Amino acid sequence: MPDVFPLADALVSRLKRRELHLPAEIATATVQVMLRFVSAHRWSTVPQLIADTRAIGRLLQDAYPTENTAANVVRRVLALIREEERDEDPARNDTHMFSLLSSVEPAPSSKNAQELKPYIIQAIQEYADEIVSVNDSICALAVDIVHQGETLLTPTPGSETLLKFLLRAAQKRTFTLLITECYPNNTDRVGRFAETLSAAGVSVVIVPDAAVHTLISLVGKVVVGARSVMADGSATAAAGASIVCEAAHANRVPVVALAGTYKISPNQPVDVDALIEMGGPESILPFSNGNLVNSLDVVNPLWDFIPSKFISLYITNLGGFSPSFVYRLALDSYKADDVDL
Amino acid sequence: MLVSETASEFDITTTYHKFLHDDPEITMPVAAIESLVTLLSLTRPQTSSELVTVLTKASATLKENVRNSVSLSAGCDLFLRFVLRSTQDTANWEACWKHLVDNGKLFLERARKARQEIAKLGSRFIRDGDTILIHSMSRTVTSLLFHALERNVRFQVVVTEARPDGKGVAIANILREKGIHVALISDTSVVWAMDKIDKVFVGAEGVAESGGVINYIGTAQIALMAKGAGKPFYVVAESHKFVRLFPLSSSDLPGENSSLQFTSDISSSIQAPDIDFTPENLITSIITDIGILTPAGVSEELIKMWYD
Repeated sequence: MPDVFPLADALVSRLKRRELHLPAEIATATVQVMLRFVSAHRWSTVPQLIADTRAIGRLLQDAYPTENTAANVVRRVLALIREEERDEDPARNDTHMFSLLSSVEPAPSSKNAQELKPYIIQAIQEYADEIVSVNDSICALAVDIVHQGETLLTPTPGSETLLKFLLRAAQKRTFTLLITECYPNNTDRVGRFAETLSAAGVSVVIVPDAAVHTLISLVGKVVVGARSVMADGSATAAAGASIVCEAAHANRVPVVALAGTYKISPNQPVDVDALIEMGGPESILPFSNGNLVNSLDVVNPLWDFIPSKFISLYITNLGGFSPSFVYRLALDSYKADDVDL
Repeated sequence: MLVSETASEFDITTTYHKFLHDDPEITMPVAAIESLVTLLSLTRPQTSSELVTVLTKASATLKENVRNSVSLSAGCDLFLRFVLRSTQDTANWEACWKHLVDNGKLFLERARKARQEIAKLGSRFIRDGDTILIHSMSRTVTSLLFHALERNVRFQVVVTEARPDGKGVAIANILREKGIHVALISDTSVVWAMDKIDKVFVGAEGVAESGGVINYIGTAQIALMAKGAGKPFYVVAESHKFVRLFPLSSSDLPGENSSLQFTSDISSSIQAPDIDFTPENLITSIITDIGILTPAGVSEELIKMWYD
């Protein structure tokens, strides 16, 4: 089905060039591609639609292998298509344990492909709206999380969601925020982040990365903007986040991670190295330093892996969840058949 | 398969053992379910309450007469809950009875499929270069390893001898026949080997409500060692092994022999319990046919089954 690909081509090349790198942007772009694809693509049967959608999902995944968001959005769209086809009631709350004995196979829908199309498009449209409102839903919980007079620490000033979350909290609460300097990849973002919050009345302190263990005992909560969330409750976030969360764990300081549901992957972190995006060496060792560049290897991971035991709570657009519950969100959002696209 | 022709001669315990004996692939909960199906085909209940009474009695007999009844009671409970649910939901309880009697073979087939599904899900956890530790006979674990082998993953396996029954020797041979490189070690050598091991996989006789597992003796101490060494500990089990028990330690498990026997008698023999309980905090994930669950997920499924 080569004619399905032009729709995705533009997104694929933007992902390959890392032009799109914020999960929120990727989610919005992907769901728009899905909408246009289901509307414009000529499909006559649902299995064909599913196969072609999966093909697009594979393309997007391969274009940016360390980033889960595009694949997650495609998996969710596939689940929506399958639910429409099967006439499933997503609210049905029955245990899967009975599947050994049950008599009823889910009945295929009585509607034919063309009748289904508007329903599928409507479901995807609703999902697109949900993605747009993710930050609002997460920010709605800000006042519950941030207490009056509290000191917070964040190692991820690159996160837009986190910035909005803290700005919302600042409307009702007075608090102090410590930001790690995030050398070398996020140092420039720290300034912008601090400035914005400072203007909103938050007292902001930028602390050296190396000072985290010393300062952690002053901190009431660590807040982290997660990059992606794995089914076992572990997460990836900007490099430097893991050591902060580990310090917090050792000092019994709660760690709150923010993540839209499109960041939740149904996969387990079997190969941690494969989840980490590597950056260029120039932020550590400028190319002008020719002799050294020639004789040294520079390793610059952009992201960090945070094991689930270091995270106390996830704040998602569906509410707050314990890391041990994330697998359930993944099981409810995606169909088992679509875990491998 | 029928052991007796009429209900009066029918003995649920004999039937259960015959199922286990005749089919080496069958698990204990499924054998219990098949025995109850056989019983239903021989009795013709007149009312839905008679149907439930017959089943309740039979599963109580079965649990009482079989030593180490944890696993089979998971099957009995699942079956009974299913019948109760079906007779409540529809006025037509006879349809439920007929469905169960007609589909004994289908349940067997589904149980086999569940194991394949687990093998497919779980083999993703095995990566090139991994050294895997396994303990005691578990068909789900071996089928998971075979599935990884079919996917051309290169891994090696450390197998414990698994005393007192010593089945580790047989398992090592089964794996070696397929070309897997196996190191067979004594049960006392697990710590000695632990720093070379990447992941631990064990099966389960039952998965308790807390997400802890009841399994062949020695599982709990391996889990503790894995935790100490920071190695992931995976339990591989079909969801029909989830059982509504909440043991706090191995001494809460049903069965005799649950306490230490102190004696000054020189001729007394070694105490060798069959099973132990691995608490949920030592378990990384539970790989099941309904997905990869955190231990907390087990109670959620059981609650949905019992209190819906």
